[in-house]
Amino acid sequence: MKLELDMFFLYGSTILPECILIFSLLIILIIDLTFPKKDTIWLYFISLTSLLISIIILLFQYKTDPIISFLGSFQTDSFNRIFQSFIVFCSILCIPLSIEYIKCAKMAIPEFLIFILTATVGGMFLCGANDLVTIFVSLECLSLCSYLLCGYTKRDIRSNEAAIKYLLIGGTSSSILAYGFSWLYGLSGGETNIQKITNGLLNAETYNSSGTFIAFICILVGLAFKLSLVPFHQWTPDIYEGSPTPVVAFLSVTSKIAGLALATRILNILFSFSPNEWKIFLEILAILSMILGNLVAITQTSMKRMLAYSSISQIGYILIGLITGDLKGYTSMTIYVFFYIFMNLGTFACIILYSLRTGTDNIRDYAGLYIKDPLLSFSLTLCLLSLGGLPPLTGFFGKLYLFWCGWQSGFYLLVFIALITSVISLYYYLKIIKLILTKKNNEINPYIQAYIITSPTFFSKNPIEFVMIFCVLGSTFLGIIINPIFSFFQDSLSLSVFFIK
Amino acid sequence: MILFYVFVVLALVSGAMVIRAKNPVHSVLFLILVFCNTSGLLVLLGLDFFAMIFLVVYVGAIAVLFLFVVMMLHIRIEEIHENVLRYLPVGGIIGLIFLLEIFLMVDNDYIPILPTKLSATYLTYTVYAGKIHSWTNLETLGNLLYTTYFFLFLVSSLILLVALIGAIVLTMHKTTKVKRQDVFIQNAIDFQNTIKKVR
Repeated sequence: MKLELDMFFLYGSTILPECILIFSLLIILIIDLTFPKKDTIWLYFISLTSLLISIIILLFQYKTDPIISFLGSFQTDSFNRIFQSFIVFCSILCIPLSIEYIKCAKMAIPEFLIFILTATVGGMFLCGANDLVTIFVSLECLSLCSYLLCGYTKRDIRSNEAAIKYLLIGGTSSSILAYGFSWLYGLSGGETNIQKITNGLLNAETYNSSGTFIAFICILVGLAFKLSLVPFHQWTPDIYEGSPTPVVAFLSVTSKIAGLALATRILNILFSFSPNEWKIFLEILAILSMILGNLVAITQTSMKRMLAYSSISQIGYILIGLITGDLKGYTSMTIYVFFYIFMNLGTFACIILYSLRTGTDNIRDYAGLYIKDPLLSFSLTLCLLSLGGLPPLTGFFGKLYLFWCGWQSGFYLLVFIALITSVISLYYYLKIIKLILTKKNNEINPYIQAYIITSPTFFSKNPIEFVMIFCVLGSTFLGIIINPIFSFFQDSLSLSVFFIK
Repeated sequence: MILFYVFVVLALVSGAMVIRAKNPVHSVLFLILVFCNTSGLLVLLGLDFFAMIFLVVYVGAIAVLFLFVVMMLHIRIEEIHENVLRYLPVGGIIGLIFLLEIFLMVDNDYIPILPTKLSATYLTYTVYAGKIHSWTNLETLGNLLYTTYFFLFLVSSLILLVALIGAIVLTMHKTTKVKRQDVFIQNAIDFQNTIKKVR
């Protein structure tokens, strides 16, 4: 028994970044309980510091050899480390975004931070989960926080509606996923570790049976719900529209990254015996989400709904990298996810800023913004164009690498549809930009009329503007240095489990 | 063995009474009786800790919650005079499916009516190693939870913490404008300062 305990402490360093976050979460809770006069700046400071420390540790550890710790329930390799640091990075960017919004909505701050941190921890655990039970538990940890964050503005009826919808849909998808897991557990002879399950399926020669197929379909449906791929996407626009905007910004990136890491792990390790089978299904889902996401996004009138459909189509693009299944495909997928953080969070920062000042997120109300606030309209333009993938910006390079890898691996139909749909996506992004730049605004809304900021201040103290400018810089100039980034990610990904065979 | 039959019969009868009872309060009370009997069965199986947890969780929390809800809802008893056999076909089919699944899962040896695969030369063995030091349920559970599964234990504790905080956040309506009664300040206030003579 003594020896086992020593071994557990030896693996402590594998979950050190998560432990730091849990520790700071408890500190925030205790500070909130004990001190009646709350100095909220301290709470932000603590949470941001802990996130920074954990991302620094992650960056130091990123080139580790694959370690399986905690008796097979947690796996650490460079792939996880990269995705985990993405998640932490999102939280770092999202907390400044939400400061002013929470103040305006008069919500409780410490609980919000606790939920954000717990969701981050859940997502990080999900990235490294190597065990069916761990996957389920950490998925629930992430999604429970998401439901609570969606319903955080409890006086807003739309927020309540979004939370209830998210809860029901999330519960359904989790139960479908758990049903698939139970099939795998039975078929492999009572294993929960995913490597052992694959071995068990191969040994029992049940990997071609219909039971495995049922399990695969259930798990794929559960994953597609989490990633909001097209037949299972209906919840996304409603939830994006109803929830508080900083929460949407957080969830749209974090849950996608975590879901993507989970999908990569499950499909690659668990279903490694039938790669062609899951690739076909995933290809169908990706094609559907690219087409439908982009087509429906054209007709939207709300900015948040438009972004919801655009995120559905973006996840379709990202899946190309997963479908190709080689090192270059994974590298370009990782890079696109990295760029997507900047582009998406930059867009959301602009929307949050605008909706805080005017109280609207209707696309129509953005008309003529160019005269009133040059800085905001400039950054929104850059972020949207980058999301659409116009040549000199970051999004273009990300898409270029993704499509090129897909083309080289022979998925011609997929890449062809992706190309056409990205042209369509440029149309609706450009429609908004045209509205911003040209149209004369004759609105009755007094807030929009009164809203004029003529002097752009680049070094303002507003945290939202800071994040916005940071993201805009990222989504504009990161594409130029894509080659060093590509080789960096390729080097580190080649150390991950999927490529050491 | 007599105890086993007593528990089983009581559990089945009260399970039937849960659906048959006209008064919803009675039906919840019968549900509690089912839980008590089942935990008795668990004790007979030697799972003492699980029996206690079963009682605490189901009877102590869930069933009492049901009872409160049922009492608050004010369901009129007369309204539930529906045709009892209306749901019998659907319910019966689903029940039969579950019963068949149980028969599929459980080995034939456990069911006395079916022919067993046991032959006369079936060897039985005793694990002597297990008899040297027998651990109780609680010890085993604690040992596993805090060593093998401590990672899962950590994550699920986080989930519970978040659920707790979230329930409070979502339900507490605390506005600053409402005048609230603070009992501590009221009690601690000095009598001399409350009443003043005004000239």
